[in-house]
Order: sequence, then structure tokens, then C-alpha cells
Amino acid sequence: MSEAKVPGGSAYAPTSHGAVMAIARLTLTRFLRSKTIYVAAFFAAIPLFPLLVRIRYIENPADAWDGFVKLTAYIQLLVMSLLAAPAIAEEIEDKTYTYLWSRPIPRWTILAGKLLIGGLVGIVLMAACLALGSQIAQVSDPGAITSAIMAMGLGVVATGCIASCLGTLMPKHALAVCLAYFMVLDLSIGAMPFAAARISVMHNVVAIAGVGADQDTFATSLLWLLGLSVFWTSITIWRLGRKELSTGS
Amino acid sequence: MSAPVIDAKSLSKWYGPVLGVSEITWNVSGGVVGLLGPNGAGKSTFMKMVAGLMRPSRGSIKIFGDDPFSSTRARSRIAYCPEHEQVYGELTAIEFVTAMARLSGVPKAKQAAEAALVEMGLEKSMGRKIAGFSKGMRQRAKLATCIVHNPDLVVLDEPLTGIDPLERRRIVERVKKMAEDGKTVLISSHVLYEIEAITEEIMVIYRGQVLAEGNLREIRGLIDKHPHRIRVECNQPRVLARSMASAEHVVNMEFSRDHLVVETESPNDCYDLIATTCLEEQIKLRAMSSPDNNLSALFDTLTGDRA
Repeated sequence: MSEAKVPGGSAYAPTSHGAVMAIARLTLTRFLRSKTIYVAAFFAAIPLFPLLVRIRYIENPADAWDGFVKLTAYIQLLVMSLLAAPAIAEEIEDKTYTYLWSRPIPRWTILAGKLLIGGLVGIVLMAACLALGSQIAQVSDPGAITSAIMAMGLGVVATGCIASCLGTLMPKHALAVCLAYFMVLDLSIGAMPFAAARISVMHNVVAIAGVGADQDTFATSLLWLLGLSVFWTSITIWRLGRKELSTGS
Repeated sequence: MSAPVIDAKSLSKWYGPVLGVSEITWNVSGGVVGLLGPNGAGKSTFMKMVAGLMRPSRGSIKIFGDDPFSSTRARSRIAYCPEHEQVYGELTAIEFVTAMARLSGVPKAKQAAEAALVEMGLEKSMGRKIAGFSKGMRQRAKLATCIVHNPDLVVLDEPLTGIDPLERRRIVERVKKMAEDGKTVLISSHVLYEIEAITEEIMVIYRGQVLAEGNLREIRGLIDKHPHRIRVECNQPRVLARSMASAEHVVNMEFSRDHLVVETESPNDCYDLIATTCLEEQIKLRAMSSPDNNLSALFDTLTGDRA
């Protein structure tokens, strides 16, 4: 049962779970009718093209796997920027958030519903890319494939949380800010030979996938990715809770 | 004892240095209430605070006893129809209203959405994408999202702006129906006759402050403090003007061959004097009207003081 009768009133209010699922359904319907999902699918397929070229020039196709996973981790940042940055930003810019804000639901459920769908789409796209890549590169180690998919899934979650937060803070230029953050800041920080590299999503994804040169363990990188997700999501929820509808129409 | 529908106490809102609304204290217990004021008067700001989309900078607002910004219980009893036209254009009307019904926790959301769209006269268009709707149809789709969860308070921000006369009539009828169904309706407009067609209970807001509130007829009493114009169409306007000129309450007159317009500080005395003079001088009275006797004039009069 996803709804409950409001005491003292004639109206109903959904449970948090019901609200998250309602937002998720709405987001999915809108996703399927927009170009974003197709553009994201195109970007997700990009790492396959250089892989197809590279295996022609090397003796053992499996040697191309590490480079392919690194490129996929990089493309994942781009894909999730596309999927998650507009999640809240678009509602704010289009003023459609009036319809959501005025409903009897906690605001965090709006974020949760949108991230649920954005994250699922991102994971499916990146996992499909890795699965196809493993076939092309003829990778026989199931552990390597599983690690790469798990790393990408965790990266999708962390990137989605950061992108949706940046979009919420700067809705006018959500995508541009996200791309600048990930393509410039995250990559630069991740390439640093210091502990600061751990705040980079790319660094941790590559470490979990086991294709990086760093010594970080799976657990360390996992904790850092989860920590980043929680930190950025907290900011988004704090911002959403305070966000008021701007004046005028 | 049940809490009032809207209970605003010293409600103020600033946008930085700009004043949105100032010190509004207001109670609504039910019925249809019109919120009047020119663009930028603070109507939308007030309504957004009622709907829980904004927090007051100072003072408090309670809807059915709860703070609408923080209480989902209060918001479950409110429906808000924004002034802007933006909707999820890629959705069909039924998808849009069903989504809003789900977000309000309505059981059997799709059936409820269908019923709401039928109620709004969109039964033939519910499968069409909203992007292809006319402005009036969009407005009715938005109104359907307002009734789908059976709220107790419906907040309609300028629902008639830019709507053609036929659509306007449809929407006015449906707003009246909401009131008949026992809902409290708060409706705003800067076009005065729109409100006049719906309700006599009004609040006039200007530059963020309440100029007047209550029954339209009671508010009209305020007009009597200001010069009031009466137009008299008759066969001898000059004769009538001569008699009127000696009355102290008459402050100005203008006349042509077939009519006389008198400006008076005491409308009742003036009406008596016109009747007496017409009888004594055997003036044939064709028509008598007051250009001030409508909501527009009331608004002009009230806002004229503060402008």
C-alpha cells in the first residue's frame, strides 16, 4: 500500500516509498520520450570504437582491456552528467517543480526517484558497454569483468550524486558546470600522486576495477566513493529543503 | 473547534531588499475568495506561501493549523495551480494528471485522473500530448491536477489570464463547481471583472499590503469616502446641472446635450437630489448609472490612495 489517509483531511498522502516510485515512473516516462537517453547511449558506446580498432593491431586482444576500462570510466562521467545533472535543474529551469513541490511528499523523495532512474539507466548502459567490450577483447577472466562492472556501477552512483547536486546548486548551467567539474577538476585531482586523488571519482573507479597504477585497495576506494555520494547528496537534500519558488511566474 | 483554512499572521516576505508582501494578517474559513491586485502587487507571493512553496520572512501562516512549507499533512489538503503555462509537454494529459495523483497518494490514480479530466471537459483530449494543447486546455489540465486528489483548499494563481472568452466561461463554471463541492478556493487576478464573475468575497492587495478585505459590497462603502461619479441621461441636462450646482456634496460636473456626469462626495444625497429635481423640473430621465459601480472603479479608488 503506497498511500495513507490523512487524519483530519479528505485528501491522501503517499508514503515515502510511494512518492519515490511515482517520481521514478514520471522520470522514466519523460526519459523515454526525450533525446537524452539516446545521446547517453551513443556516448556509452564510444569506448567500443577505439577497442575495435586497437585489437587489430595487437597480438593478444585482452591486452586492450585495461585501456578500454579506463576510457569507459571516463565516458561514464560524461554519461552520468547527461543523465543526472538536469534531474532537478531542469525542473527548476522549466518551473515544473511547482507541481512536485506543492505535493504532499518530502523533497528528498524527488531526488531519490530521479536518481533511481538516472542511476539505473546509467548502470545498464555502462554494463552493456563493458559486456560488449569483454566479448570484443576476448577477456576470459570473469573476475576482471565483474570488478569492472561493479566499479562502473559505484562510479555511476557517485557521479550521479555529484552531478545532481551541481545541477541543483547551479541549475542555469547544470550540464556545463558538471562537465567542467568532471572533465577538468575530477581528472586533474585523480591524476595527482597524493592522497587528495581519492576525492576523484575516476581515480576510485579505476582502482576498484583493478586497472589503475595506484595501490588503493578495493575497500578504500569503495568507502571513498560511498563517502563522496553521501557528502554530495547531503548538500543536495539540504539545498532542496531550503529551496523556495522564485518570485514571478 | 476546527482550525481556519488560512490563518496568516503579520505575514511578510522580502526578496533581498525588495518587498513581496508586508504584514498581512488574514483569516479564511471557507468559500471562494478573490485576491485582487495589479501585477507585482504580491498576490503570487502570498499564494505561494499559502501553497507551501515559500517560507515567510516574518510572521506565520497556517493552513488547517499546520505550516504548509514543512508539513506534508497541510499540503495534502492543498492544490496549487501556478500562473505559468509550463507543464510536462511530452506527457499526455492523462499521464500528467495520473502522475500528480500518484504523487498525492490517490488510490486508483488513473481512474481518478480520468474523472478529473472529464470534470474539466478534456475527455476527448486526455490521450493527446499537452505540448499540443491550447492555452485554455492547458489551464484545464492544470486544474484537473488540482482536483484529482480531492483537496480542501484550491489555490488558483491567475487562472484566467490570456484565456479566450469561451474557455474563460468554462473555467469560471468549474471554479464555481469546486466551491459548490465544499472546497475553499483562493483565486487571484489583476483583471477585476474576472473575480467579480466568481465571488464577492475579496482581498485587495497592492504593493504587498492589504488595501481592503471582506465582502465586495462592504468594501464598496469605502468608495463613499471618495468622489463618486453618477451619469444621468436625460432630456434637460443643463437644467438638472443648475439644480445640482448648489449642493455642497457635488464637487464636479460635466455635461453634454444628452447627459450629465456628477461627481459627489455623498452618493445617497446625490441620488435623492436627482430624483427630487427631476420630479420638480419635469425632466425626463432616460438612464442613470454609476461608472464607479463596478470592481474596476473600486480598485482604482483604493489604489489611487496609495499610488
